[in-house]
Amino acid sequence: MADRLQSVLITDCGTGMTSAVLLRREQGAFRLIARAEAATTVDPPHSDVTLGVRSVVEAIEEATGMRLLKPDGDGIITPAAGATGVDLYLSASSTGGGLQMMVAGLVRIMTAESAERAALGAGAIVMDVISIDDGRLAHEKIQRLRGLKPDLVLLSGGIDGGNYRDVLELAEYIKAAKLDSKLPIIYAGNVDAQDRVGQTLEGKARLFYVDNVRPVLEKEVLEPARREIHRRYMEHVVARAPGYDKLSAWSKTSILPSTAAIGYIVEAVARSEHQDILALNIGEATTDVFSSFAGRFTRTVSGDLGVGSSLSNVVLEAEAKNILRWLPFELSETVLRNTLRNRSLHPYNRPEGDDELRIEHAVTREIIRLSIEQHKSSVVGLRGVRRQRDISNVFDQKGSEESLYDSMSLGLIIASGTPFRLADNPRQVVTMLLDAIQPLGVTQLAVDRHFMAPHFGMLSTVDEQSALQVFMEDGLLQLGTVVRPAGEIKQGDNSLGMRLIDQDGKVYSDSFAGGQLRLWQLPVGRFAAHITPASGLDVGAGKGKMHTCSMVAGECGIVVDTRDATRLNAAVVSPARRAEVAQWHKQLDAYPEAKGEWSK
Amino acid sequence: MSEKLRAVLDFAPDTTISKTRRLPVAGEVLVSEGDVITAEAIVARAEVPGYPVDVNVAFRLGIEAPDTSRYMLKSVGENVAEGEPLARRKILLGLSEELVVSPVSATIESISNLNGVVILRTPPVPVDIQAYVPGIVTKVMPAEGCVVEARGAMVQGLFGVGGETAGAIRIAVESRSDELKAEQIVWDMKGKILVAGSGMRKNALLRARDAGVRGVILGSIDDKELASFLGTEIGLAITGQEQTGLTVVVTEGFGDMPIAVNPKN
Repeated sequence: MADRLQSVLITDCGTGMTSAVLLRREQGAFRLIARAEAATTVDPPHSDVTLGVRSVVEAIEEATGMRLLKPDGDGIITPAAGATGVDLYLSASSTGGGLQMMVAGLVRIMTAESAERAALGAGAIVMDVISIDDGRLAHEKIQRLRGLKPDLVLLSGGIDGGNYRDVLELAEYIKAAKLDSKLPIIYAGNVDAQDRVGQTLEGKARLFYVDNVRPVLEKEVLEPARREIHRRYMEHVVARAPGYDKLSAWSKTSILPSTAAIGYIVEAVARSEHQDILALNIGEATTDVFSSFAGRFTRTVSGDLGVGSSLSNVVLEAEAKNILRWLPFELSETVLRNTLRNRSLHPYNRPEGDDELRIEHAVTREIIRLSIEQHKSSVVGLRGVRRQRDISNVFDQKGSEESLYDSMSLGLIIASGTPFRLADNPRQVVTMLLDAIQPLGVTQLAVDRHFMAPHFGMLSTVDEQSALQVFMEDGLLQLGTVVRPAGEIKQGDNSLGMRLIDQDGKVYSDSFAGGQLRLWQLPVGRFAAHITPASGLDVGAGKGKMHTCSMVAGECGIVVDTRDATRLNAAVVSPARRAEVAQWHKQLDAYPEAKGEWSK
Repeated sequence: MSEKLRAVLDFAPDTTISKTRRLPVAGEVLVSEGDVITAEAIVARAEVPGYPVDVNVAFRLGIEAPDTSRYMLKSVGENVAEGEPLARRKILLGLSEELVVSPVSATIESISNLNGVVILRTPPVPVDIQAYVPGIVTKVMPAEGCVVEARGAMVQGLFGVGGETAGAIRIAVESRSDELKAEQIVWDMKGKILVAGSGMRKNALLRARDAGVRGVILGSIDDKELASFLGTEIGLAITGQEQTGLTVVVTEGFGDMPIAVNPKN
């Protein structure tokens, strides 16, 4: 089917905005032909999500001269015939309320964790994870189930042919919670317990059976559970959000949660680029972090960290001094707290003026820092697997409990979300990412400035290669590559030398002193790079060893960050710190007088 | 910033106010269409199920979990009083016995022979819903609640803590930009809703609460003063459940902003 596709229309119905992209195959490769945005129309007075979709599709019709909507406006014309219609229409959605799930499993770090990964990977919001060993008494678990009123429960537990008594105990908790008998429960545990789980919950819930998420200890099988969650998601949005019954009939494929779609494209990028990647999506209320380290995909949601209604919580979690340390001007804690409280009451207002923008960017740094801290603890290998150790690795303590997150192996960071979309220039995005994430070695930075990851994620479910190609070429804006040595950097001393050769053989070389953030403006393109760090510093090949790699100069060229981590992370609010922050912003020309210089 | 904030507030000097009063679970509606009621009138009542309590009977009696039902003195659905025996095991050829007594007065909800746990549920808790506004009942939704309509002025607050309350309104300051200070709170303000100007500090809020003031309407409040008054920080956007003893409604936002003359302008 994928090969026959010549044109695709994809929409994403977000909480505030509905967006659409039109893609057409030209000379064998998909190109982004048009993009449009309009307000989402789920809430009164419109109360019909398809009205917003029609608006964006009409805008695309106007821009391209094509006819895409059916004459009665109730659907998209498929397949394409000349300038009429498209071969495929797809949609993602994050409106109508996310799917709030509770997850249950036997052991927290084994089956319950696998089930949680399946739920998060499917784009759900995991309200709580209940397990036999979570330290709570039975009535506390039952009370929790009753109190949270989940939209969906994923019940797992036991390897196939293994323990089933404890799975039945979990089923009994669900039964005792007396939830709505229409509540869908997906059972993804020991297959031998299916019948008895069914008997226990008969008449108490709607049960759906899928393959065990952990059929054996050494293997996770998440896709069947994910797919079933997506089916229940459709039911959920159709029941809750007006117009989704119509929209689901417009598309031949399922509408997926936007976060699930983003996850699909991030996984696809990681597979195709063969490198560890990190992607962020900072929303108004929540922040999603996606990563792939050592081939293992992880998504976490920081449910109370966002740049809108969650700002009040950010200031509490981050502490005011940690936000203030990123500002180049003096601001009292009282004014900061009041400003962020007011922003949280008006989540869709844009920052006004340079000072408010810098406050927003300071908060964004802390949102990224905190959400990545949370994410790191979930980036782990498959736990509960029996490992054999012999004398040769007895001193190697790196086990499955340890985070796989590695700042040095991180090859690509993709940023998407409100603060990046509203930034004045790409260098502001770079400073936020560098201050908050502090990658080591050589890391490429890209921004999904128009929030098209959900669209290309949807496309990846039918044609991964095309989705990847058009996402990397038209969806992402390449900001460039950052080089940041690991080790004790001495202020002012030479920290590294770089020699870059472009595709025409032209050579660029320079050396970089410690303690600075330098923007090396080079022509956009790919370079062969030879980086020689000072002794004691490492950029990927070991301390003092030359690292050879390929790197991309993007909108911001190449950025070399030789700032000392201790100074960078100091939670200090002082005139000296403010001067230092101002200096970093100046070195990157992040906040110039002239505004609006995005080239794409 | 205040000008930017005002744009979203709803304001009507003379309008029909329609409030839907709904029970959290099915219950009984106590009013009829056409009834004229006060703000404090109870319009609907329901019973919310009690909380579950688990007792590991098998462990306490030293028996195998699958045998739990055999040792029970009560069955599912029966009531049990606090201290009343739930299960018994005879020992020493019947000369003595081990007893498991109920820790609470409750109903037996389930007996599990899988893990030996008996789940009890405490008695339901009655929940009353008040009218909230004085007016006339215009619609009754059987078992669910009703709609109460009243004629009045409508000023939408932007933020609030402390939940629903009602009382006679008293303007407590001379100008909308005046701060209401502690020394201006007097004892005859008991039961009233005070309209202050730009804001109040913690000591004034505490004094208002101690004087029996039901609520205050402010232009703004300093975030730190509010946290100090509440004794805790508010992190999330959803408020209204705080046990403050004084309801606080803010019309403009945080900081130092007077109540707007007409928020729509």
